[in-house]
Amino acid sequence: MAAPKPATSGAKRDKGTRGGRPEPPRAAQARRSPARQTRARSPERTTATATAVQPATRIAPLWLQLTTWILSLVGLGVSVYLTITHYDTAVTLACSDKGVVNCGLVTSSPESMVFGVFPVAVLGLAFYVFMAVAASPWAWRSRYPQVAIVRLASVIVGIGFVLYLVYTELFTLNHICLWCTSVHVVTFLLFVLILISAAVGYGFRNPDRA
Amino acid sequence: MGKASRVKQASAREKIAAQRAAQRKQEIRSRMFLTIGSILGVVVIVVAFLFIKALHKGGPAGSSGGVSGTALSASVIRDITSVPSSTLNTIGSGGAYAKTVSPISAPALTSGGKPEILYMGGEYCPYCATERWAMVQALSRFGTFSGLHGIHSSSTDVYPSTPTLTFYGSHYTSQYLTFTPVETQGLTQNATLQTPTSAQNKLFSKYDYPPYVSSTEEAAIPFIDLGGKYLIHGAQYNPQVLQGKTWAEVAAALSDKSTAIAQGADGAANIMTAAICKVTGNQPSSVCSSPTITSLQGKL
Repeated sequence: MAAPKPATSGAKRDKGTRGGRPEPPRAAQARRSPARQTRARSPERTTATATAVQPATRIAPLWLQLTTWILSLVGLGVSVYLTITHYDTAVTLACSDKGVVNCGLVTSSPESMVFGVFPVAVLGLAFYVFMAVAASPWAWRSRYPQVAIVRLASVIVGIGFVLYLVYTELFTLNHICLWCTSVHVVTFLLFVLILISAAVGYGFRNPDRA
Repeated sequence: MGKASRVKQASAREKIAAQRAAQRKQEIRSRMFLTIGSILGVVVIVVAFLFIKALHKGGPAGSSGGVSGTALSASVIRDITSVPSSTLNTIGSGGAYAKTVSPISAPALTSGGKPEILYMGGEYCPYCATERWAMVQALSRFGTFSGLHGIHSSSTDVYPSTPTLTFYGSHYTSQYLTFTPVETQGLTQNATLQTPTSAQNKLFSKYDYPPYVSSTEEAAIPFIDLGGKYLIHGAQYNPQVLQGKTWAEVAAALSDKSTAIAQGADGAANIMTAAICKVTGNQPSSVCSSPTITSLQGKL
């Protein structure tokens, strides 16, 4: 009499063949710890096991996550510097004051205040504080598509404001602030990257998910 | 379920999956077009700005009349010097910046036995251009100007080609005060127009530097000394409101309290009038006893 064949493969077990010892689905579920369930839901885990569970949102490649984050941090750094020089008159901007380039003239003009109340430097700082969070790798991996929507909307508003500021510098003030221009360039690069990532669908609902 | 039916189902699933993938690709492609269009749109706008700027750079320096200026019609002068008091009273400090007039404890500045108002500025300077509209208005309440001409500030400075009047070649008479304007430079910073006296230079060197002004604003013009009692540094309202206007348009706007020009220039003129009244001992009373002026004096 032949002894029952031991189950040698999981596949066989899953199929529940007569020769193996299939585990009832309930029992299998009960063995999964709560921590493991959470991990399975998290996007980074699920990409690793993409065939099993698709993430709720499409995850951007790491280089994009890091590039946008680094750009945001650069923008944040320059904004902090511009805000300090706006409030602390003892600190002067390291910038030429001859010819077309004149940072002091631009940052101390009436146009440096929006509606005469909000310093542009502070608005820039607030924008980059937000972007440093919204464009961080953690935000890129968020399973909430709202994060991507807010990030996209913010960078569109940001680039609109940049165009207004460039116009003001060129036609109203007749001078350019190099530090401000560096922030404008960073904002433009963020605009390009975030717009393209939105077009591809990164951060938005994953269509592959069942 | 037979094998044939399973194969059929699998084939149908593959077809649907392929259709979905194609649809998704199409969606991404159209979104990409929109994205590239938006990015190009931003680039085109910036390039257009730079192109327009480059075109204007080589062009003429606006309609400036240069050092001698352009003679203004009597109606324009009248509009500037005779803004109805009802308009001025309604506006009060209007859109003028707060705390633009600072009190000082200095020896009284007098000339010809009367309190002296010293103005030091330059024709190229856009902030001087802005302030002159308020100055002419305020001083016209104490005396009479003649020989005022229209000019524009420098076309290469901030607020390029701001329309204004020049004090150079003008004459002012008043029984209450003496007005001494010094336009040190012409339309360019290196074109000397009038040389200040050593006494005027002394005042400038002392009161247009810290602690009377912040270090970032030292030596700024316009510098206005109101009888040694008050100082005004820079423009009292935003020069932007004058951009692109003709002299006649600015003059007409001064009497229309709904305009940004009236709010700025009339407000600044009222504040300056309140300070001048303090210097003249509240003379003439027809000007200085106005509730608007007395109220503004309380804030100086």
